[in-house]
Amino acid sequence: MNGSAVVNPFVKFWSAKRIFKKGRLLGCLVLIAFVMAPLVCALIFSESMIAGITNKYIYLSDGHLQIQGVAYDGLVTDDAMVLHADSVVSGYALVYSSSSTSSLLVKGVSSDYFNESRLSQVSFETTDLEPSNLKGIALSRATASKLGVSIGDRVALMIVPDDASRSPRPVLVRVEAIFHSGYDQLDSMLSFVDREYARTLFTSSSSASVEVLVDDTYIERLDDVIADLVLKNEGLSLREISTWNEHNVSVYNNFVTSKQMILIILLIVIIVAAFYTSSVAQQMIQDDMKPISIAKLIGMADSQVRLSAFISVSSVTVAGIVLGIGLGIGIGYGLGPVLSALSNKGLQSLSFYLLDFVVDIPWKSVLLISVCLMVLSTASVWIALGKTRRITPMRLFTSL
Amino acid sequence: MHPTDRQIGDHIDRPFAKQFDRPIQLLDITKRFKAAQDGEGEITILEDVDLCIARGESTAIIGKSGSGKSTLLHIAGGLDSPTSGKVLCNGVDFATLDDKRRSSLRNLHIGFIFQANLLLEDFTALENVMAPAMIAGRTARDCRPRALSLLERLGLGDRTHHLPSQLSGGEKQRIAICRALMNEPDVIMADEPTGALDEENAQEVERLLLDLVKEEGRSLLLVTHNNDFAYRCDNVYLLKNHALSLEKGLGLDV
Ligand SMILES: Nc1ncnc2c1ncn2[C@@H]1O[C@H](COP(=O)(O)OP(=O)(O)O)[C@@H](O)[C@H]1O
Ligand SMILES: [Mg+2]
Repeated sequence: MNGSAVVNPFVKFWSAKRIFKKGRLLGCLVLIAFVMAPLVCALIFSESMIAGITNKYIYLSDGHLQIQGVAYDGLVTDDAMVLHADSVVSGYALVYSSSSTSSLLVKGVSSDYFNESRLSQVSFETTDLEPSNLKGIALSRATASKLGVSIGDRVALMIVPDDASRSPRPVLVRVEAIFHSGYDQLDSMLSFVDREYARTLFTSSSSASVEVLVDDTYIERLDDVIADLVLKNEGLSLREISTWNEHNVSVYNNFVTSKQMILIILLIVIIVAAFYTSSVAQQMIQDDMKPISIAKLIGMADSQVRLSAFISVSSVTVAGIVLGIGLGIGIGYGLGPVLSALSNKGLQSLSFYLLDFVVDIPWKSVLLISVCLMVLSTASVWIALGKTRRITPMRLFTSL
Repeated sequence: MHPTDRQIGDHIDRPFAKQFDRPIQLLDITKRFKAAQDGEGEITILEDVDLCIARGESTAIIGKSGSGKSTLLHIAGGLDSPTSGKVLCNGVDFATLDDKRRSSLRNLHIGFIFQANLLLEDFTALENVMAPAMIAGRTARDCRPRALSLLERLGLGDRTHHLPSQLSGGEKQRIAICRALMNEPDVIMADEPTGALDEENAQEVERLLLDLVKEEGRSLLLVTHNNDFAYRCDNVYLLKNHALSLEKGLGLDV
């Protein structure tokens, strides 16, 4: 017997015939596609948004790696691994305007801090100002609107000194730029000043740090970069280097949980979809009761009947999944510009979301959910089709 | 070697000699049905029935409606199982085979024709006729010539691409005959094949069936209540009181 190696010609023929003749199967295809499309879309958005937010934190707040406490101006790095290493001086301050106050991280950065990759994450508004002997500060759009100030206005900074023996002192600065990253949650706690000026505000050695931006190819291998840094820089210890997620544990954990939640929801939807395909399969054999009896009468084995029904349903399922993924990706790309337009409107209710992000297809997750859906639905279809065993040719004579 | 023989023969293990001179044997068949749903009591339809179908001969079973003719044919064709007794198809007991082999045995050795034509509604005339050969593992291309020539022979040369719903009762029944003959089976089993047709069509189908069975050298097991039709067969049995009695021909001892 070598019958199992090739699919029987009639099995193939009948399977194909069913796919093209049965409206129900085409309905199934469309439904699966319509289930898959929003799932894929949701996946694209959540993953892209999380990646986008992560990048905002990395490029504007922490770097991929942060070396704490030391101003390493002359950090020795491997150019293949490290794109930029910027020394910054930062500390917390209360900012007062005439109408409101806000607590901010004041980051002192050098003039080359806002390189191309950082400028792709944030946009600045400036206007020409009269020269002044006040130092400048860049506030976020969110902070500026909260404080009711605009470019050229003055605000007072109240620095909480690291040294308890000194009393807090206010300094006056002028708003010279307003920036906007698209993610208000981060924006509303950040501000930038000149690094040399920051040194005069935050004198403790723990205020200094180095933000390291790593080349794309090393993002998944930060440990290698850390090891290399430690090797190349005498006196640098592992303890002083932290990664972005170590630095923002709660934000990072939120992301992990929301990714898991999304996957769980997707899995539930997939289970429902698998039930649906198995009920389509059941309905199909219910409808095909007579042809199945006839096929068995003229000598088709039950295993062949089952295989043929299986091929019909599962190929439709696979086609639906593929179509749904295509549709989801299409919608994902299409909606990107719409959302970024929304983000520019600056709606308050959307401030927790990053709307202006690069749509990036999370192939791994898309693959994972499609494989899950395929495996689960084909398995449930196969099991549902076990019922063909009970359809015998004698049915034709006893129930007619 | 002719591809038909090779491909059909290779499709399954075939321990059954094509030349077995008694393609169907019923030995000591008894069939009882439950009298009611709840299982109380039984009615006997067949009791200790023996029947032998000889190669190339035609055998008719006559009897009153409800006497058990169809039941006998279903058992002979391996569709239903007897309460006791054995059915041998080319010497192989149906009861000893699994679904796959039993199906294959039926596919290769028995062609069925019923009162209701039982065609596949979504398949064209040609596809219906090719179906048994494709189930046996032959490609459509491979078996199309024989299917076409059978359809031609039964005057359906211009109906090959019609669906059953587009054909008359007589035409459908002729397609069923083509399908039954497609795999060159040893036995054609026909249960009231003309029962649903008007007089003219019935005679036409009757004639074609008997002629083709002779031409192709097949055995025929015909169940009918039409005595004229029955008496054109080599052997005629009457089914009465759960048993068969020979009315015409020599019969064959089991
Ligand atoms: N599945 C069944 N269960 C119970 N009784 C049945 C069943 N099939 C047939 N019978 C009965 O067996 C008898 C013989 O039926 P059948 O073989 O169809 O007769 P015929 O074909 O000679 O008209 C009838 O009385 C019929 O009611
Ligand atoms: Mg009958």
